[in-house]
Amino acid sequence: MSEILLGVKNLNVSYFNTKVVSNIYFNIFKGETYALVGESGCGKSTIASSIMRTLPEIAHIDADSQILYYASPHPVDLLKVPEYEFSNNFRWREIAMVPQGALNSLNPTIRIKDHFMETARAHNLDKKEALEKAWKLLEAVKLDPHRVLSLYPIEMSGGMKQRVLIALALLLNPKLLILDEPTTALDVLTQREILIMLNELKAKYGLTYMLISHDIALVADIADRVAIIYAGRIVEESNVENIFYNPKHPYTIGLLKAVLKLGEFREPETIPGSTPDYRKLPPGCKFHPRCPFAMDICRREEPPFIEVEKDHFVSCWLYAKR
Amino acid sequence: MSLIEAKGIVVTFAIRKGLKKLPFNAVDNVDLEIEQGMIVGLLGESGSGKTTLGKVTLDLVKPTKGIVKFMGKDIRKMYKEDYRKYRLNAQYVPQDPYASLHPFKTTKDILMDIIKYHKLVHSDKEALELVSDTMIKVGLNPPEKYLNKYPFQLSGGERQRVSIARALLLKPMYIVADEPVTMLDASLKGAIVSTLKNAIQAMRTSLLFITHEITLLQYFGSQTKVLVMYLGRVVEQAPLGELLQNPLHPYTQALISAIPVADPKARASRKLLLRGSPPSPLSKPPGCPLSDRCPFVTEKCRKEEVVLKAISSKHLVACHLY
Repeated sequence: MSEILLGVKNLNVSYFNTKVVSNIYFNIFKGETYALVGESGCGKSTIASSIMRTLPEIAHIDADSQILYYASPHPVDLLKVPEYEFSNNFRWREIAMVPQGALNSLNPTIRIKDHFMETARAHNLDKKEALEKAWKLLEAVKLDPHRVLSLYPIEMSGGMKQRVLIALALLLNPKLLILDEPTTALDVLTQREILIMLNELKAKYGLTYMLISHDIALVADIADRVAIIYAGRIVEESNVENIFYNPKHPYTIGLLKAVLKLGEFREPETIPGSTPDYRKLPPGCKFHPRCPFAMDICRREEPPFIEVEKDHFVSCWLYAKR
Repeated sequence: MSLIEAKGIVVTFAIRKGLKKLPFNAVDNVDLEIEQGMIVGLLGESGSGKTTLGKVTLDLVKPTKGIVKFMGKDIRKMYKEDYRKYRLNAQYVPQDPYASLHPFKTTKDILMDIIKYHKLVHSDKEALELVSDTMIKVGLNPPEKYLNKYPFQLSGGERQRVSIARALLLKPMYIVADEPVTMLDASLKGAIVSTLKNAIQAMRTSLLFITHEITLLQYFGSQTKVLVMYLGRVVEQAPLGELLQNPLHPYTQALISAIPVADPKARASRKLLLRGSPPSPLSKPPGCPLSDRCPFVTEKCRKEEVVLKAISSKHLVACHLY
């Protein structure tokens, strides 16, 4: 059994009095790619922001939530670490993030070199050392450092910006890299290049990835384990083979049927209804109004998290033994 | 007689560099023919000229060379009455549903204004009926729920449905949909595309569907005519089923093998056949536009221009290999 790197335990996040992330448990093992999958508004980015501690001030994390990080001999609860210590020792040094929207995440008024310098300054890294590291990283993401360091973001293509963001995230040798929709808005061939490069970087620097995406196809391509999220809850979790070839939760099945594989000709099957309103979530299972198999109990009680086979968990009454 | 016929379209744009103007061809000698009720897919990466070509057929961009015919008549030499008819019958669904709806207008106003402007009906009551009918057609059901909402109160999918309703209102004979679902969740894309498909098939409207995702075209069936564009040229043209099974042009082969597929077992077959990104149109190589990246390049490719040749009755390719 491989070692755990990050353990999220009972994470609950609310904005004002509306709970958007509820009762989240998951572990990320060293060296794997763990994917959080769900439609927009399902809470996947909120989970990432909770780990990075970059939630807006109106967000409230419940006191008994834990995010355990297992780098040192003893696990550290990232939510209890003072902000000063977190930004000195954890953010970017242990856990870094490649933000969503590569096209507008860079500061348009400063050169790429200054992006690296700014990050280095914020984390007390020596200037010369940072520049050397930036040079190496840009080479690792297959850019020409000599040229790119003096460019402004506007002078680069979408693919180049995405590579710069990845290099920037790796500046302080993090162990965990959070990738928020790393390939949206990129062309097909550029996407493939980025995916191949991410695999190379993972092997070269011994990274662990947490992938956030709504794109089932991307997840099938690079993830090792997958958590499907609906209305701020994990509804199914397993390895990528189980999720794709033996999905259990009606929502997962719906998500898979909604996309076509290459060379497949059929009508799309869609999940009826729309994503729920967090202010008036239904009682019981949050998916029951859209579920074709909804039973009485689904409308009344929230389903437990059930292990249907080894390492395959589903939160659905269909699989509960009664 | 084709509904839309574009012949020898060349669109020249210019980049200013200091005092000099550097011209380049965004669309370079392209023919496009769309029959009544037919769906044509236009596939290409960003910068391939697919949007420009689409806009030329709507007379939103004036071609430098070449003619566009609507029902056999040159749109430049039409009588005013005929031109008005063409304008009413050629509609556009834009890419970004967040930027293409007036933020201060309700759904009702957005849709009613078009009817009023074109004086299609005599009373407000009739107009409202027409709007409601169209809204039901695109899945905004019941219409009353959406009529008084502003765009910011709608989800991305709903906005795109309003966009489609706007294009369908005039019962046009021809619609250009420019990447209508790129900004949406993967699970929603299929639903929106099939809404569009069902609506236009009921009206026998022709559709030019511009996209960079080949899997989206699969919703239109294996017989859909697809044009693959690269740097302003059409490099291959074939029915979709044939194109997927037997892609001839190295660029098409690269596109198809690079797409992420919702099937973890297909990982091994996913690869990158073309390195680098398309050159700037200013430095387009002589001869075949792909000659600087193509793995099968020969001397001939670097020197001689390629033209679209018919391999079989429906399969055309522009490559010296064939």
